Amino acid sequence: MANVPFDRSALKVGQVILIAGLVTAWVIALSVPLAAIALPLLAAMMLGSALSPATSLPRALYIGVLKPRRLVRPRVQMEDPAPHRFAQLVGGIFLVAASAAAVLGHITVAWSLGWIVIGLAFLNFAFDICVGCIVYAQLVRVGLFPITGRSPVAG
Amino acid sequence: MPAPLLAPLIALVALAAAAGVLRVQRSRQRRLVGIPLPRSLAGTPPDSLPDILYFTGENCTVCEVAQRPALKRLRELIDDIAIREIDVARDRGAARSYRVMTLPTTVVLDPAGRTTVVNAGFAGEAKLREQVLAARAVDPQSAVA
Repeated sequence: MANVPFDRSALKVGQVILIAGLVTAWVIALSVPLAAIALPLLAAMMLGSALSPATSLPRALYIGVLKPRRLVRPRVQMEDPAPHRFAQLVGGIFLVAASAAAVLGHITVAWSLGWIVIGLAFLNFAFDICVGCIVYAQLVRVGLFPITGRSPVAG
Repeated sequence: MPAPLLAPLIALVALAAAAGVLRVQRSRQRRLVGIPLPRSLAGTPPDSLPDILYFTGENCTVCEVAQRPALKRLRELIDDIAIREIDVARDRGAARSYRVMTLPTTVVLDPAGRTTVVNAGFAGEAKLREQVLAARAVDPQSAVA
Protein backbone atom coordinates (compact mmCIF):
# COMPACT_ATOMS: atom_id res chain seq x y z
CA MET A 1 0.00 0.00 0.00
CA ALA A 2 1.36 3.43 -0.94
CA ASN A 3 1.52 6.48 1.29
CA VAL A 4 -0.69 9.26 -0.06
CA PRO A 5 -1.55 12.75 1.19
CA PHE A 6 -4.14 11.94 3.83
CA ASP A 7 -6.16 14.64 5.61
CA ARG A 8 -6.59 13.47 9.21
CA SER A 9 -9.22 16.14 9.85
CA ALA A 10 -11.77 14.16 7.85
CA LEU A 11 -11.08 11.22 10.15
CA LYS A 12 -11.49 13.36 13.26
CA VAL A 13 -14.82 14.71 11.98
CA GLY A 14 -16.03 11.13 11.62
CA GLN A 15 -14.90 10.27 15.14
CA VAL A 16 -16.69 13.30 16.60
CA ILE A 17 -19.92 12.42 14.76
CA LEU A 18 -19.64 8.82 15.92
CA ILE A 19 -18.93 9.60 19.58
CA ALA A 20 -21.46 12.44 19.84
CA GLY A 21 -24.10 10.48 17.92
CA LEU A 22 -23.76 7.34 20.04
CA VAL A 23 -23.65 9.16 23.38
CA THR A 24 -26.65 11.33 22.48
CA ALA A 25 -28.61 8.33 21.25
CA TRP A 26 -27.78 6.39 24.41
CA VAL A 27 -28.98 9.22 26.65
CA ILE A 28 -32.25 9.44 24.69
CA ALA A 29 -32.55 5.64 24.71
CA LEU A 30 -32.74 5.67 28.51
CA SER A 31 -36.31 6.92 28.10
CA VAL A 32 -37.04 6.37 24.39
CA PRO A 33 -35.78 2.89 23.35
CA LEU A 34 -36.36 3.72 19.67
CA ALA A 35 -33.25 5.90 19.84
CA ALA A 36 -31.38 2.64 19.17
CA ILE A 37 -32.05 3.41 15.50
CA ALA A 38 -28.79 5.40 15.75
CA LEU A 39 -26.88 2.11 15.91
CA PRO A 40 -27.61 0.91 12.35
CA LEU A 41 -27.41 4.45 11.00
CA LEU A 42 -23.93 4.97 12.44
CA ALA A 43 -22.97 1.45 11.37
CA ALA A 44 -23.89 2.40 7.80
CA MET A 45 -21.82 5.57 8.12
CA MET A 46 -18.76 3.63 9.32
CA LEU A 47 -19.08 0.90 6.73
CA GLY A 48 -19.50 3.55 4.03
CA SER A 49 -16.30 5.24 5.20
CA ALA A 50 -14.50 1.89 5.26
CA LEU A 51 -15.60 1.14 1.69
CA SER A 52 -14.11 4.20 0.01
CA PRO A 53 -13.64 7.98 0.39
CA ALA A 54 -16.47 8.53 -2.08
CA THR A 55 -18.98 6.83 0.25
CA SER A 56 -17.77 8.54 3.43
CA LEU A 57 -20.41 10.88 4.87
CA PRO A 58 -18.05 12.55 7.40
CA ARG A 59 -15.58 13.23 4.61
CA ALA A 60 -18.34 14.74 2.46
CA LEU A 61 -19.42 16.93 5.38
CA TYR A 62 -15.82 18.01 6.03
CA ILE A 63 -15.02 18.80 2.40
CA GLY A 64 -18.40 20.31 1.51
CA VAL A 65 -19.15 22.33 4.64
CA LEU A 66 -16.54 22.42 7.41
CA LYS A 67 -13.34 22.97 5.43
CA PRO A 68 -14.64 25.74 3.09
CA ARG A 69 -16.07 27.60 6.10
CA ARG A 70 -12.76 27.12 7.93
CA LEU A 71 -14.54 25.49 10.84
CA VAL A 72 -12.01 22.65 10.74
CA ARG A 73 -8.43 23.05 9.55
CA PRO A 74 -6.78 20.46 7.31
CA ARG A 75 -4.10 18.19 8.82
CA VAL A 76 -2.52 16.50 5.83
CA GLN A 77 0.11 13.80 6.32
CA MET A 78 1.69 11.30 3.96
CA GLU A 79 0.30 8.00 5.15
CA ASP A 80 -1.50 4.89 4.13
CA PRO A 81 -5.28 5.24 4.62
CA ALA A 82 -5.80 1.45 4.80
CA PRO A 83 -5.45 1.07 8.60
CA HIS A 84 -8.01 3.84 9.17
CA ARG A 85 -10.46 2.08 6.86
CA PHE A 86 -9.73 -1.14 8.73
CA ALA A 87 -10.51 0.54 12.05
CA GLN A 88 -13.75 1.93 10.59
CA LEU A 89 -14.64 -1.53 9.32
CA VAL A 90 -14.10 -2.97 12.81
CA GLY A 91 -16.27 -0.22 14.32
CA GLY A 92 -18.93 -0.77 11.67
CA ILE A 93 -19.02 -4.49 12.38
CA PHE A 94 -19.39 -3.85 16.10
CA LEU A 95 -22.32 -1.52 15.40
CA VAL A 96 -23.95 -4.02 13.04
CA ALA A 97 -23.71 -6.57 15.85
CA ALA A 98 -25.16 -3.98 18.24
CA SER A 99 -28.03 -3.34 15.83
CA ALA A 100 -28.74 -7.06 15.56
CA ALA A 101 -28.75 -7.33 19.35
CA ALA A 102 -31.19 -4.42 19.58
CA VAL A 103 -33.55 -5.99 17.00
CA LEU A 104 -33.48 -9.25 18.99
CA GLY A 105 -34.40 -7.38 22.14
CA HIS A 106 -30.98 -7.54 23.87
CA ILE A 107 -30.80 -3.82 24.57
CA THR A 108 -28.04 -3.97 27.19
CA VAL A 109 -25.82 -6.00 24.84
CA ALA A 110 -26.54 -3.57 22.01
CA TRP A 111 -25.54 -0.50 23.97
CA SER A 112 -22.55 -2.25 25.56
CA LEU A 113 -21.18 -2.83 22.06
CA GLY A 114 -22.01 0.78 21.26
CA TRP A 115 -20.05 1.98 24.27
CA ILE A 116 -17.06 -0.20 23.31
CA VAL A 117 -17.06 1.61 19.95
CA ILE A 118 -17.25 4.95 21.80
CA GLY A 119 -14.28 3.95 23.96
CA LEU A 120 -12.14 2.84 21.03
CA ALA A 121 -13.05 5.91 18.95
CA PHE A 122 -12.18 8.15 21.90
CA LEU A 123 -8.77 6.47 22.35
CA ASN A 124 -8.03 7.11 18.70
CA PHE A 125 -9.39 10.68 18.69
CA ALA A 126 -7.78 11.90 21.90
CA PHE A 127 -4.55 9.92 22.09
CA ASP A 128 -3.99 8.72 18.51
CA ILE A 129 -3.79 5.24 19.97
CA CYS A 130 -3.80 2.91 17.02
CA VAL A 131 -6.20 0.22 18.16
CA GLY A 132 -6.22 -1.00 14.55
CA CYS A 133 -2.48 -1.70 14.83
CA ILE A 134 -3.04 -3.80 17.94
CA VAL A 135 -5.97 -5.68 16.45
CA TYR A 136 -4.07 -6.23 13.20
CA ALA A 137 -1.01 -7.62 15.00
CA GLN A 138 -3.20 -9.93 17.08
CA LEU A 139 -5.08 -11.20 14.02
CA VAL A 140 -1.84 -11.89 12.15
CA ARG A 141 -0.45 -13.65 15.22
CA VAL A 142 -3.35 -16.09 15.30
CA GLY A 143 -3.13 -16.60 11.55
CA LEU A 144 -6.37 -14.88 10.54
CA PHE A 145 -4.61 -12.54 8.08
CA PRO A 146 -2.95 -14.01 4.99
CA ILE A 147 0.74 -13.70 4.29
CA THR A 148 1.48 -10.69 2.06
CA GLY A 149 3.97 -10.32 -0.76
CA ARG A 150 5.86 -7.37 0.75
CA SER A 151 9.64 -7.72 0.75
CA PRO A 152 11.72 -6.74 3.80
CA VAL A 153 14.12 -3.81 3.71
CA ALA A 154 17.65 -4.61 4.82
CA GLY A 155 19.05 -2.40 7.56
CA MET B 1 -33.52 0.81 35.97
CA PRO B 2 -33.45 1.26 32.18
CA ALA B 3 -31.54 -1.58 30.50
CA PRO B 4 -29.01 0.62 28.65
CA LEU B 5 -27.82 2.23 31.89
CA LEU B 6 -25.45 -0.66 32.58
CA ALA B 7 -23.95 -0.50 29.09
CA PRO B 8 -21.07 1.95 29.81
CA LEU B 9 -20.05 -0.13 32.83
CA ILE B 10 -20.12 -3.36 30.82
CA ALA B 11 -18.10 -1.72 28.05
CA LEU B 12 -15.60 -0.44 30.61
CA VAL B 13 -15.22 -3.94 32.05
CA ALA B 14 -14.75 -5.40 28.55
CA LEU B 15 -12.14 -2.80 27.60
CA ALA B 16 -10.40 -3.24 30.97
CA ALA B 17 -10.30 -7.01 30.38
CA ALA B 18 -8.76 -6.47 26.92
CA ALA B 19 -6.23 -4.06 28.44
CA GLY B 20 -5.48 -6.70 31.08
CA VAL B 21 -4.80 -9.34 28.43
CA LEU B 22 -2.45 -6.96 26.63
CA ARG B 23 -0.75 -6.21 29.95
CA VAL B 24 -0.16 -9.92 30.56
CA GLN B 25 1.23 -10.28 27.03
CA ARG B 26 3.48 -7.29 27.72
CA SER B 27 4.84 -8.79 30.94
CA ARG B 28 5.51 -12.06 29.09
CA GLN B 29 7.32 -9.99 26.49
CA ARG B 30 9.50 -8.41 29.19
CA ARG B 31 10.58 -11.90 30.24
CA LEU B 32 12.24 -12.22 26.85
CA VAL B 33 15.18 -10.14 28.11
CA GLY B 34 18.29 -12.30 27.92
CA ILE B 35 16.78 -14.75 25.45
CA PRO B 36 19.08 -15.37 22.48
CA LEU B 37 18.11 -14.66 18.89
CA PRO B 38 16.36 -17.64 17.26
CA ARG B 39 18.55 -19.48 14.75
CA SER B 40 16.22 -18.64 11.90
CA LEU B 41 16.91 -14.94 12.40
CA ALA B 42 20.62 -15.19 13.24
CA GLY B 43 21.87 -15.22 9.66
CA THR B 44 25.49 -16.02 8.74
CA PRO B 45 28.22 -15.19 9.52
CA PRO B 46 27.77 -14.50 13.27
CA ASP B 47 28.98 -10.92 12.92
CA SER B 48 25.90 -10.17 10.88
CA LEU B 49 23.76 -10.22 14.03
CA PRO B 50 21.40 -7.26 13.98
CA ASP B 51 21.25 -4.58 16.67
CA ILE B 52 17.53 -4.12 16.24
CA LEU B 53 14.70 -6.32 15.05
CA TYR B 54 11.95 -4.13 13.62
CA PHE B 55 8.56 -5.85 13.47
CA THR B 56 6.16 -4.23 11.04
CA GLY B 57 3.18 -5.02 8.84
CA GLU B 58 1.67 -3.94 5.56
CA ASN B 59 -1.27 -2.07 7.09
CA CYS B 60 0.64 -0.44 9.94
CA THR B 61 0.39 3.34 9.59
CA VAL B 62 2.50 4.19 12.64
CA CYS B 63 5.24 1.93 11.26
CA GLU B 64 5.47 3.87 8.00
CA VAL B 65 4.73 7.38 9.24
CA ALA B 66 6.72 7.39 12.47
CA GLN B 67 8.88 4.32 13.10
CA ARG B 68 10.57 3.98 9.72
CA PRO B 69 11.67 7.67 9.65
CA ALA B 70 12.91 7.29 13.25
CA LEU B 71 15.01 4.27 12.25
CA LYS B 72 16.37 6.24 9.31
CA ARG B 73 17.42 9.04 11.69
CA LEU B 74 18.92 6.43 14.01
CA ARG B 75 21.14 5.21 11.14
CA GLU B 76 22.45 8.78 10.89
CA LEU B 77 23.27 8.74 14.61
CA ILE B 78 24.90 5.29 14.65
CA ASP B 79 26.72 4.55 11.35
CA ASP B 80 27.26 0.84 11.80
CA ILE B 81 23.84 -0.04 13.21
CA ALA B 82 22.24 -3.16 11.74
CA ILE B 83 18.45 -3.21 11.63
CA ARG B 84 16.53 -6.24 10.45
CA GLU B 85 12.95 -5.60 9.35
CA ILE B 86 10.45 -8.42 9.84
CA ASP B 87 6.96 -8.44 8.35
CA VAL B 88 4.83 -10.23 10.95
CA ALA B 89 2.55 -11.68 8.27
CA ARG B 90 5.48 -13.22 6.39
CA ASP B 91 7.30 -14.48 9.49
CA ARG B 92 4.73 -15.40 12.11
CA GLY B 93 7.25 -17.62 13.86
CA ALA B 94 9.49 -14.67 14.61
CA ALA B 95 6.49 -12.62 15.75
CA ARG B 96 5.47 -15.44 18.10
CA SER B 97 9.04 -15.85 19.40
CA TYR B 98 9.05 -12.24 20.49
CA ARG B 99 5.36 -12.20 21.51
CA VAL B 100 4.66 -9.27 19.20
CA MET B 101 1.31 -7.86 20.29
CA THR B 102 1.25 -4.53 18.50
CA LEU B 103 2.96 -2.81 15.63
CA PRO B 104 5.54 -1.45 15.43
CA THR B 105 7.64 -3.47 17.86
CA THR B 106 11.40 -3.03 18.07
CA VAL B 107 13.67 -5.49 19.86
CA VAL B 108 17.14 -4.32 20.84
CA LEU B 109 19.80 -7.04 20.93
CA ASP B 110 23.23 -7.14 22.56
CA PRO B 111 26.35 -8.15 20.56
CA ALA B 112 25.64 -11.80 21.38
CA GLY B 113 22.13 -11.57 19.96
CA ARG B 114 20.36 -11.63 23.31
CA THR B 115 17.28 -9.50 23.88
CA THR B 116 17.91 -6.47 26.07
CA VAL B 117 14.67 -4.57 25.60
CA VAL B 118 11.38 -4.90 23.72
CA ASN B 119 9.56 -1.70 22.71
CA ALA B 120 5.87 -2.32 22.08
CA GLY B 121 4.65 0.57 19.95
CA PHE B 122 6.56 3.48 18.48
CA ALA B 123 10.08 4.13 19.84
CA GLY B 124 11.90 7.33 18.84
CA GLU B 125 15.50 7.49 17.65
CA ALA B 126 16.79 9.04 20.89
CA LYS B 127 15.34 6.23 23.00
CA LEU B 128 16.57 3.54 20.58
CA ARG B 129 20.05 5.09 20.42
CA GLU B 130 20.29 4.97 24.22
CA GLN B 131 19.08 1.35 24.25
CA VAL B 132 21.47 0.26 21.49
CA LEU B 133 24.48 1.91 23.15
CA ALA B 134 23.56 0.32 26.48
CA ALA B 135 23.18 -3.07 24.76
CA ARG B 136 26.58 -2.73 23.07
CA ALA B 137 28.14 -2.03 26.47
CA VAL B 138 27.05 -5.49 27.62
CA ASP B 139 29.92 -8.01 27.73
CA PRO B 140 29.02 -10.67 25.14
CA GLN B 141 30.65 -13.33 27.34
CA SER B 142 28.58 -12.54 30.41
CA ALA B 143 25.32 -14.24 31.30
CA VAL B 144 22.31 -11.99 31.49
CA ALA B 145 20.14 -12.37 34.55
